[in-house]
Amino acid sequence: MDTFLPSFIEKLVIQYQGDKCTLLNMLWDIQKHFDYVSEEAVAHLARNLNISQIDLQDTLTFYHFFHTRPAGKVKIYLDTSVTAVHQGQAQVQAAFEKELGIVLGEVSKDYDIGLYATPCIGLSDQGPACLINFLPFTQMTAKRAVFIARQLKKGISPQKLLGCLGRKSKKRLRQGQEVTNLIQRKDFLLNDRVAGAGLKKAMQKTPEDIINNIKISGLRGRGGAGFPTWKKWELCRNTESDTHYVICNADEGEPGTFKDRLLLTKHAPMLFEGMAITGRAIGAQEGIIYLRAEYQYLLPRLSRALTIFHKKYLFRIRIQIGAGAYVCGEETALLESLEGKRGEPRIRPPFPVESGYKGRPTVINNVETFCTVTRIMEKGPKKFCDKGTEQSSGTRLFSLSGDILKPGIYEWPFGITISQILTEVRARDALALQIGGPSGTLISAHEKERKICFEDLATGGAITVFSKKRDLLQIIQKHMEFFVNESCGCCSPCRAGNVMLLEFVQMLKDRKAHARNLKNVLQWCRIITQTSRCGLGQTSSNPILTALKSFPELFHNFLIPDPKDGVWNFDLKMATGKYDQIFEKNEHGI
Amino acid sequence: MKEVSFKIDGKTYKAPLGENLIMAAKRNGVYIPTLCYLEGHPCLGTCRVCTIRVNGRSMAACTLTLTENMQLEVNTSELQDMRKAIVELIFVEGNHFCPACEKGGDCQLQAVAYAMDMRVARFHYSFSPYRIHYEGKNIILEHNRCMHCKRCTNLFQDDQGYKIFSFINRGSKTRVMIDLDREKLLSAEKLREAKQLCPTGAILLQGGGFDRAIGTRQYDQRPIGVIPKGEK
Repeated sequence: MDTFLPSFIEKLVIQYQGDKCTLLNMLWDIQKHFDYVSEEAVAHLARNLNISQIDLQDTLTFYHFFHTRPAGKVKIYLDTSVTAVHQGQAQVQAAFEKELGIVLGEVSKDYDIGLYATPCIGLSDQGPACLINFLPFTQMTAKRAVFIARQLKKGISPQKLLGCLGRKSKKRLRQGQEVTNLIQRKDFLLNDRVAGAGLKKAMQKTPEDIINNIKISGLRGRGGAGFPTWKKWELCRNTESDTHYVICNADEGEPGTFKDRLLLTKHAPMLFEGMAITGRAIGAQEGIIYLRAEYQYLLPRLSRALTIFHKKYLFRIRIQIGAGAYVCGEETALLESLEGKRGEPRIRPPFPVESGYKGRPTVINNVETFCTVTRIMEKGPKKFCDKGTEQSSGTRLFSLSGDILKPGIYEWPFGITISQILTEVRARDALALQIGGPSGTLISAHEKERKICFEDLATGGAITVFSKKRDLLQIIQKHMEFFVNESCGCCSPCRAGNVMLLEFVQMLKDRKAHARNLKNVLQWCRIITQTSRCGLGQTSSNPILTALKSFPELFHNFLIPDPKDGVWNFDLKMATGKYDQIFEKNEHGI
Repeated sequence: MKEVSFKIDGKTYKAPLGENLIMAAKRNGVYIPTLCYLEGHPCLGTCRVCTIRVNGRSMAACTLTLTENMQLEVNTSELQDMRKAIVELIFVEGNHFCPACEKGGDCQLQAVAYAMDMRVARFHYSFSPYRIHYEGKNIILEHNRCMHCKRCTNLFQDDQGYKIFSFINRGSKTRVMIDLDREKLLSAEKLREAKQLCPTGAILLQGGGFDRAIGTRQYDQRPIGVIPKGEK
């Protein structure tokens, strides 16, 4: 490949046919060859694409994996999610920092190695983990960090270090076995499958029959919101257009979730089949998988599986890599990102089923939803809806991590109770459970009879258990920091409001918050929830709101009572009422 | 265009089917405060100051068009307070010192805050340090006053159709930035358009701050809208 920037970019633009929708790919290619996207690169790319430079910066600076300054030949991204912190991320970070002579966020000039923080990378069951040049390294310890850092300093490529636990350690993970996919419980979805059976049965059915089958099954979207899948398909099918699209949301970004990693690693054909079935149901010939950048180590494997699939079937699928933005899991932000823009959620209506990718009717479903569709087609909808509850039929995958003896992936029917979960995962001294990640619900481990289902505790599949030695306020603070960093910044309540909420949690931790502050904050939470543009802002108050419900004492123990001598109940309207009366009188008098 | 009837706070009104809700309300004398929305342009849906209830759900009015029998709630005290809170948030996020601002009297943010009877913000002021961007030949970007409405980034192009303004970064670090190469070439007319597009005093032109005396400007003469006292 060309190492001369201007000609490299010229070729790149020709390769992608100057299509601005592929901007993310172009930026990735530039970064892979030149380690970062320089101002010079932006200038050349803008000229070749015939857009202004600032138009390019728009997309470039939105995603946290794109670097606009020298970022190192080797880039280490440390998972800084709550679970990783509990697993000892601080020691790993300290070891890297000491060995490389830099602090987090810096580049070691001597060795050309950069060290960065990144939110959850989908490895909470085997953390603390990190990505080195986007290769996964799990079960990190300070010792292993020192070992890896020393090898990297010698110029050994990260690829060769996969599986090496340390110099003295004889144990070595098998090459490519750095990530384990521990399945603790199988059911409808993961039980033995006949390859191709689901799609074959679907091909014998009319599109209407397929949609009807999914309707009977009662399948609801597995991303978390739980929209009935059949309804989405039918709305899309009924929108007339020359082209329809099927898009798979593989941007599993909710901290604590990793079950799609299993499906993408082990069951890619099941996913492709599900997308093709959806294609038949809505009349689409083309599908796109939006894969989160953190999972790009799965790309070679996925591409091989895809080549085999394409030999057998006509339905075309391509894979698009993201670039690091939680908000792109929101379906309309995902569409924007697929079109090479900032991942800002669109205004709805119109909904994607009417006007989605490139303005065409589009169905966007989660990885697990597509896989479940394949199994429903294979085994029939009755077998699926036999399990689960009335409004949440079937089984689903759960990502279990935290203070438990048996972390990993569980397939449970909806309606499972907290007490069953805690027993099965062998939780020790459980204090609280985070159901559905930071945007979900924090509940107490005493709420044993509560059920996981859309009627009670809805979830995108993540369950993190916290033991009694964990500091819940720190967890809430980390979650609020996450939302502040991941807000796209386009609507005011979410961009500015979450900063206010985070400040409150920090004040509370420092024992500087007064009782009156809490009252205000609850009002602010309501405003942010009701006025934000997308799901991120509508759920970002949940760490505070749900913790307050389950652990009110947590807040009240930290609050300082309002002093009696201050004017804390100051009522502005009452205080200025007389003035207003006089003022109004005068105004009208004149 | 077919006229349909709809309700605002229990009263029945009529407006053309498919009309933007802000315009449909305005046509009937009901003022819905808004900052990012600009008549005749695609809606941006960024400021959320026009939050109302539509058939019970809170939504940004500018993002919706009128359909038959819509039930809108606009002036309940709860909604008024919610909208006011967002304006207050915008005030504390930036640094808005109106008496020293070149846009005073022509500023929509200031006018809406007056219309809402905002006296003080319920949030504490963050006094974040913002840079003033003087690097342009003609345009000064006063980031202290930017409310991230996206009017300049989405509704403005130069004569050749290139974008001049864009967002950079994300979350609370989001800023508007200009394309220095192309900004140099903007015509005087285009520059005026850019300045007027900005609802606050974030986009200013070199050497033209106080072309009209404060006290004689647009919203000095006539308030932006009248908000009735909400129901208790």
